[in-house]
Amino acid sequence: MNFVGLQNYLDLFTIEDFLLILRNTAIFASSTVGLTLLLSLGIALYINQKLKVFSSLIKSLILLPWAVPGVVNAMIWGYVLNGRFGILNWILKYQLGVINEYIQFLADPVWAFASVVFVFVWKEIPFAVLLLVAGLTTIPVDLYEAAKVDGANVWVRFRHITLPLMKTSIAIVAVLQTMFSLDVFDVIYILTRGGPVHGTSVISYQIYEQSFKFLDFGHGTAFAFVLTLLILVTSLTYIKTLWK
Amino acid sequence: MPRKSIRDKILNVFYAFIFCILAFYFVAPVAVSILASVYPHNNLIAVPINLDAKDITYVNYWEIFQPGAAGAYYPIPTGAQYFLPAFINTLIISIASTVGCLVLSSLSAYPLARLNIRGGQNFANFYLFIRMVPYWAIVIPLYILYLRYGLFDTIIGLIFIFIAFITPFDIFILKGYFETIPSELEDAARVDGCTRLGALARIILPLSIPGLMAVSIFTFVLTWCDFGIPLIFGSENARMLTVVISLFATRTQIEYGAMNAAAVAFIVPVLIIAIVFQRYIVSGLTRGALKG
Repeated sequence: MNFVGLQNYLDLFTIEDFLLILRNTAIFASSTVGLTLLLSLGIALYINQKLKVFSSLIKSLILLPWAVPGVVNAMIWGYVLNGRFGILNWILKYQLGVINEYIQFLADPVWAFASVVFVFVWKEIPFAVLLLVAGLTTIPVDLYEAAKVDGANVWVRFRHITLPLMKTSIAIVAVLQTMFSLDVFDVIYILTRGGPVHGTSVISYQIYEQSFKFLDFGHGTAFAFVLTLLILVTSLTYIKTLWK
Repeated sequence: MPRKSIRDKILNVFYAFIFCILAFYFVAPVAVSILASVYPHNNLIAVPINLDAKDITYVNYWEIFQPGAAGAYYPIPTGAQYFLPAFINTLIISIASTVGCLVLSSLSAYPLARLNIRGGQNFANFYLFIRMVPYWAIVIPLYILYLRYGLFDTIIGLIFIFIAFITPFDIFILKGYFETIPSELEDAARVDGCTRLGALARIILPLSIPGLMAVSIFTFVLTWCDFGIPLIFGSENARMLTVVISLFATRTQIEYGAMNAAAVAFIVPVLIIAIVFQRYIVSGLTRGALKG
């Protein structure tokens, strides 16, 4: 073993597609966190409406994605999205007649990235919803009643009561979700293996590929430090802006 | 007021519509998996897919639970031969990690919640901060350590990793939960001559059973479902279920039927746990987690 100083870090910049991988990581994290937050906030509000049948049913159904392991989730979607005999293509072509040619969901860079984001979000929603529902139930109902008396409509009530009081819950979900999405592995490993041509490759997958596929622990560790730095910066930013 | 009732009706239709979309969104992938698990491989890869009802078969499940029994359908061995040993491994590892996490986290959450240690809050935040460090960032040093100390590819080694990774999260939840229990109860027990540990065992723990349940379910499911850790640290002797499932996809030809059967067999235990303990998951987890 030789001491190489900062060589491993400098090598990162000469590794093919390093900037692409960084960009992928940033887009993946921001899009999954944004989508998960939006969707789960919507679902949480829906559950909080306390409609007799619907809300409790959704509350049970939502445990389904949670109980499906990430690997199994990715495998099922891999079959659904397959470009040769996938079910989604079959539905789109033979049942709905929307497309003429099968779409290569996992072989086309743009589609592959969108698919990975979609599959990841599906799995992440339940946990976020559970936390947000708990946050919603802590808001006193009187506040809404009072606002109603004052003539505030749905949007105003949401904007000036729900959002401010949900700040902590949203911050917790955002922080955890950012961490989960920077740590993503199984979905990418099963669905695309980082391909096509690094199109869906993110830092956490690169750590695996560099160190356990190419057995290059030096570059793997360099990537690991980039990831740690990224998480440190994002979580400090969150804490500064949201956690006051 | 007729105007109001029309508005309510429209709103109800809207809610029902949203419900259908959400239900479809959550159920569809699992339904596809169950459907695909009862068809032979050739039907599944036909274009267009061949869903003829007379082709429905349980051969995929045979292949999973009794490898070789469905020889005609599976001339080439699939990953299925590893399924049962891995199932047992996974069960041992998940249960052991759950017990370990429960003991460690309740013993360390209690002082953080009750004793006024100087810098106690910093300790709690430190735990949470440790949890923020992603697994993939520290996998390489762990790997080297494990190779050197002979823990690599052993069941006990995997249990250690899982406990180390999940305990901080459990501490965070349990600390919040313990803080919701009034301390007067404990003071009364202490006056009557109970020790700190006795008070923890006799007063706090029985009162926090929902929280403990939530924590153990969470730990169990996290261990059961994890992929990154067993992929690196359990390559052969301590192979876990998720790794076996991924083997179905690394063959040149993916056996979709067997794969989906394995997926269903994998989901069912977790799903049963989730449905039976649904109450605890929601209440126990959130009562603790959202306090801080």
